[in-house]
Amino acid sequence: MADAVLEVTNLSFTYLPGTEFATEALRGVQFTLHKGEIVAVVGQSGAGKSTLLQVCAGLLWPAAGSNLQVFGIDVLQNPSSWAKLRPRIGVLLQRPEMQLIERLVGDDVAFALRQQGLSGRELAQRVEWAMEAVGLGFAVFRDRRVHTLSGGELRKVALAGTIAPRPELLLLDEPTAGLDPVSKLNVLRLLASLRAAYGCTVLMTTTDMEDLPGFADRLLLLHNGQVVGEVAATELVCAASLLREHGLDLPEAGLVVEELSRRGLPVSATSLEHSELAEAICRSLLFSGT
Amino acid sequence: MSDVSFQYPGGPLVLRSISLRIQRGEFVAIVGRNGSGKSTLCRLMNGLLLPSSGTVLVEGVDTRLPGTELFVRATVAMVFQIPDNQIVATVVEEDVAFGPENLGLSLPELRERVRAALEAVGLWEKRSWPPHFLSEAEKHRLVLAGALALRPRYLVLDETTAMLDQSGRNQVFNIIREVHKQGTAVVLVTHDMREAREAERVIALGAGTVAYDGPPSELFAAAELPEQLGLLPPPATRLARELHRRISAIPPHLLWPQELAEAIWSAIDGRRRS
Repeated sequence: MADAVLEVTNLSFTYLPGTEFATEALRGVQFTLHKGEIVAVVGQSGAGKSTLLQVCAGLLWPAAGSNLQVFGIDVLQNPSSWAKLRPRIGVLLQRPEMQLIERLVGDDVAFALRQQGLSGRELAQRVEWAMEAVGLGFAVFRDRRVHTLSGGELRKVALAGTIAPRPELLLLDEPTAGLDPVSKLNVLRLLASLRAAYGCTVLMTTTDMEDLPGFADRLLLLHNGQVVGEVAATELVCAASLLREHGLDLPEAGLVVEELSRRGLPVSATSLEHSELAEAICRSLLFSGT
Repeated sequence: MSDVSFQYPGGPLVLRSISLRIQRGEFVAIVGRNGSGKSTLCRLMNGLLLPSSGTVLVEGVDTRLPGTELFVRATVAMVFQIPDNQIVATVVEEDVAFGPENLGLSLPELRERVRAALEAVGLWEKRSWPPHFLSEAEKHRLVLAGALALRPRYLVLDETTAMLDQSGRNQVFNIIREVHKQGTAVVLVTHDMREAREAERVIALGAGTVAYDGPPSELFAAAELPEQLGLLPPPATRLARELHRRISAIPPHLLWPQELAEAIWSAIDGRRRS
């Protein structure tokens, strides 16, 4: 398809292959990410979420027979193409301290921009934009030393550095972990606004389903290195048993919908986003009242 | 803690003259936006950090006095976010024994404590495993066992569940509930309001001071306060608010999904009767 940003077929990866510690982390994974989509990879710890992201980012090399197309380029056949692709891809690792390299926050956010040749006013403006976008006040944090930051602030710095070059594809490993609830929502809103602004495509992992409805288009459910389901965000409640089978559960709004239908009030909700769901529940109440 | 302030060298003032008291047997959640000083507050509780000014007393003992570290840290045990940072031994049971070994216990007493702690977290079967063969959730349970083996009066958990998946969170949380039931005070730092609503008392930090100290229900019932502090009510409460705006019979401050479903159901009954 013309608008495929990421096309993955038969993707496998084994840690320490050929040794007695060999661990198959991904087994025959297949999915396609289209331009402008926001897709969440969910699954239990050890399901292969981080490995999948790192393989897609070119940080890990998949097993023979795998197929990975990034922006239509077969990167496994043409490994040298990564050099050209990298500036178009933003990668956030699970532990932010693994990708923070400068002493001061402002310099760290500027790192990739400087590599791309930005300087002066243009650079400063872009750094300010990225920091404010993730909720780090530019004036307060620009000259803060990275090692004095809290865990959540470190993640925000790493995220600011990731989005600063405005990459077309964002591969984000747990972008909202360790953030306070308002920051968490703020990050998800930011992803939606980047998509609206320039059609940014997002693949993100998460262990918390709670805030996904209303932001993610689809969920990719991983279990033991395999994709065991692709669920549209609007069909979460229907997928409840599939989620539970794999150690996950519905967001709380979904639990409410389930409980209501168990009591005989079916809610024809297409979304679990709170205001849309509230509307749907009102409609159901009206019908049941007459 | 009385009048405690704290500043990291070269950093801003994180806590400003905080006074608070945590009683034996309490279940307290500490919440607040990123960088509000939650972790700093925890580290002051067991002498990992000493106050820049003011006093921290643990069961009456000033944490600044030299020679009190052992008592303070055995009384207030601490579990961090990343288990790998506090796993020290190469065998599970040795790791659990590491803390209590420093207390000068007899060997049978030490053995008994390690066994009880590993059973409490469900890792007794894996006592001779190397820790790096454990899953992430198991590693979290391991460091929890290490803290429990100290038989602390207070257990401080600094975002212990943040990187865990749902079943891992449930496992760890069930252990915490059990520990609390048996009389240990639990201080839980969390960004997850589904966890905070389980506490008897929530302390919210804001601008380096205690911005709220009271039951979770009142914090989340306040219309403005939580968001100012970087907080949102638990998901069920947020949905309840949305519904309340449309149907006033549904109360806006319900904390639990089951409660909310119940309230929606009675709203139907109300309509049928009218």
